[in-house]
Amino acid sequence: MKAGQSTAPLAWEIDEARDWQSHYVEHGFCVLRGLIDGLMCSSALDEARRLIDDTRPLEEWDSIRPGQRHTVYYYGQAPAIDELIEHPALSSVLRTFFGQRAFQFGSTNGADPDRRRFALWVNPYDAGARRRLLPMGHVDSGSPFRGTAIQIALARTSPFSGNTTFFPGSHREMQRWIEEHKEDFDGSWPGGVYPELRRQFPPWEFVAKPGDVVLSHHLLFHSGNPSHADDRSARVSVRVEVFPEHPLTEKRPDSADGSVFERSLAHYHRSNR
Amino acid sequence: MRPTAAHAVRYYAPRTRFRGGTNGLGGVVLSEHQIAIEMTWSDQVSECRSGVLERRLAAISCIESDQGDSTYSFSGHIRYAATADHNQLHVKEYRVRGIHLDGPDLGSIQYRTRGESLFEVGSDRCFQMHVELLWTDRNNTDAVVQSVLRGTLLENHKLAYISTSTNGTIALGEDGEGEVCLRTPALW
Repeated sequence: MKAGQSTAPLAWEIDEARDWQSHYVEHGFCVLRGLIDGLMCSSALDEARRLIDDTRPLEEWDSIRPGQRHTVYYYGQAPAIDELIEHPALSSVLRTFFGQRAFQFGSTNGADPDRRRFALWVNPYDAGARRRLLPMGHVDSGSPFRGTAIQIALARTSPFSGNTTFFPGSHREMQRWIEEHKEDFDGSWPGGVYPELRRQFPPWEFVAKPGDVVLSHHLLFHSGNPSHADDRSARVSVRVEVFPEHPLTEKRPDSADGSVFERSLAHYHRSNR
Repeated sequence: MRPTAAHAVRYYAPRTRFRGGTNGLGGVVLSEHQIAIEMTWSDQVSECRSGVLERRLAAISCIESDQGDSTYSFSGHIRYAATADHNQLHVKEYRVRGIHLDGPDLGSIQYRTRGESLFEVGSDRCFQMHVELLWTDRNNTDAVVQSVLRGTLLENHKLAYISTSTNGTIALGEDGEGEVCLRTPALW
């Protein structure tokens, strides 16, 4: 499977010659175009409309109604989206990604407050916004060794539809920084924006069609953006985290020969041998 | 990780604007006074006292003013308790303080809730809190501004996707009064 071609006028373009695995290791993310079939995405979008309680065409959505949403749903509350997350093509990618460590989405025990969940991200047209991509991005809080983040597009978007942007290769800079400041960490991770860290490349915007999927590293700088596309298209996507079934016992793998997951966390060690 | 002054400067917010202007009547008013802060909320929620959870935040903001750019470090916390059925959120205290680091010194800035408040959490786990904040800076002693905090209460009682919007009128010293507009977007 190849990293897909962008449909956007990007400042940074994905190298189509790279396979998604090496792309993820080097750049901290990969895009898998059309990984999930349109029919399933259509069902999931219907489910999203039900959850949001707005059946109007997406082009009629705006920042007032239904407004921007970042809503979390637990396993079982949105079966069509649960099914999307369990899509065989995505599972196949994740098996490759985690290798012998295998993967899981979290407990499905209804009594577990930390159980499996996803976030529905809705970023509709904002009449007051400007067409721009934010310049810095941030790294999320939480252990950067916990797995990877998946974003599944449910709707077609255009440039400046409020898409997520990713800063290619910034996960390597962040790893270097952590290695140099490792005495400060006791296992927790606050995340942040780290303006002093150089972003080697301009951001790449995830302009999507339904079924396009991005996997992104937990140390990769990324950002939400204003939604003000010419065609008023709204960004509607599902964001879910996936974890290794067998977690890393060390904070940082010392081997560059392991799974995509392990290799993407081994940059600093590798570059200093 | 324990927050320290050295760590605090790692956080960042994209832009703060602080500008004055002259109106048609000859008096000086603040034509634009907007603060947009990208707050970073810590992942860990700690129990600061029995049944009360605390989530800390930090940000560095660049304040653009007629005198030049200032750099401010913001830090603070929200302390809260959630009912067992996740239907209510009891906010004990929300407090943020901005300290001058570099550039023109606009004085320390602080805003905090007036008291405790109880809010409903929707069936979708989203909440929207309307609170009054006391705003203090070198020209104001507890001016009152209005704030809306939005976010999601997870079943593990973490607060996620927190955003705030704060508006109000504050004194500007010799410049009269001005409108403050402060936004902290949800990070996602």
